Amino acid sequence: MDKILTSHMFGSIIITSSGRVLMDQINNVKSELIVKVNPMQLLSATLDIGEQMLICGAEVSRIEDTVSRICMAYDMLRVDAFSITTILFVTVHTKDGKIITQARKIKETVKNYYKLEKLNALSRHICKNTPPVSEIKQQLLQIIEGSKQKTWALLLGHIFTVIAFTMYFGGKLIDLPAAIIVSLIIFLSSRFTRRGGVNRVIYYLLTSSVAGFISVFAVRLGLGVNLDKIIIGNIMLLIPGVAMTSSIGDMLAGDTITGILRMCESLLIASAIAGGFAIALLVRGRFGL
Amino acid sequence: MMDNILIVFYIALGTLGFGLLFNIRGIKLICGTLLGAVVQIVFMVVSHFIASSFLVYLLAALTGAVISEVLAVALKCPATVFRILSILPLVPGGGLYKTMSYALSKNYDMFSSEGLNTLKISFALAFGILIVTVIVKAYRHVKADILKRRKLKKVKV
Repeated sequence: MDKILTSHMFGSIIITSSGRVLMDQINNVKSELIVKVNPMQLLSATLDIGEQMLICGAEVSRIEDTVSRICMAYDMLRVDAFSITTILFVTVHTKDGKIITQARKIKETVKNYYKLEKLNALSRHICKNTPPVSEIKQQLLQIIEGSKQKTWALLLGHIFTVIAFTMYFGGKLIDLPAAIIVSLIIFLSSRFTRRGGVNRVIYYLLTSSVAGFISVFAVRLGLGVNLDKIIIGNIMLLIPGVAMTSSIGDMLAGDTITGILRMCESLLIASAIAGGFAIALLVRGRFGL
Repeated sequence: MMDNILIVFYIALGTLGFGLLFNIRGIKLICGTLLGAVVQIVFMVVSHFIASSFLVYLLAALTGAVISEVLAVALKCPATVFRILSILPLVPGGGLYKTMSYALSKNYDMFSSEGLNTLKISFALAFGILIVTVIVKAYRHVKADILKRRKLKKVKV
């Protein structure tokens, strides 16, 4: 596959299309050296990997670690990676004295652990084999394409979670139809609202108030009996309990800023959810539904 | 007894649901679901013997974290995947919601007690996980160091 692109300096060095530099046999050097990857391109590709990891919900320390490992594998003198929940900065010092900084900012995180596994495997592969940048980019694209969340899995996930937590908090079998209908509404709203880049607090406020109204109506129509159990079952879908716990974990592990940001975010979202359901219950009380 | 079995079943179903939401696939999803159930069983058994809820949550999270490190090595994937699933049954989601709804209804006594309880549980879970992570990291460092020294020795010879 490798084509010879240039031969350099009286035929003693050959650069092939995969970016590898082969010493000519005249010099009797058998070793194959990976030199001269464009550090700008390399850093950009590395940051793309870090960005994808940040999007799919990896811990900040893991991202910093991965990015510095990849850069060190390509013989950088020094790597400083810094990341918080939505931003990733990296500065590298190359061997020929260049200092390069690049950054990425992401908009939102969607937990996707299948993608995280694949990215982890990719970064290990890179550290071991130091492939050329074009290969990294190609594999990254493949991962992004191949690890999209499937709709049926999301749908089943919503339904299972709601059934489980409605029953866990003391609901009865008669409550399940209403609970499942409300979870479908939440599923639909997460499917269609989030794409437009709606403000997160507003999104949670609207979703939970709509979910609250629908659960009130469903109980009114006789699809369920225990309104509070139906509501708490659906709240478990929305509430950022894991984010809250992992924010404290981040703080304890030394990523204080990330922990504080995540904690604030989860408290805001929790109060938006509480507010949304409170609106529905208030209206129900006022109009005697 | 029947109730307890049902609760473990519900928790397993909930963990499975969250696993699907987080796009975990194949054998890892099955292992994660079982892990959620195991952690819930540990939690229920331990809470029989120990009164302090902080310790109970800490021990349950500790067990979950240990098992998830083992699973991560066995199935070759990051431990985070299993760690999240293992604490899912214990995470204070309901408590967080109740805290905020007490705040909105101006019931400040209940707000503070529920809030502190939620915070306590989160701390216990985070501590449990942190202990295991720190030990695993230290072990890996030592192992890498030993390997490096061996390589250096070989080069010298």
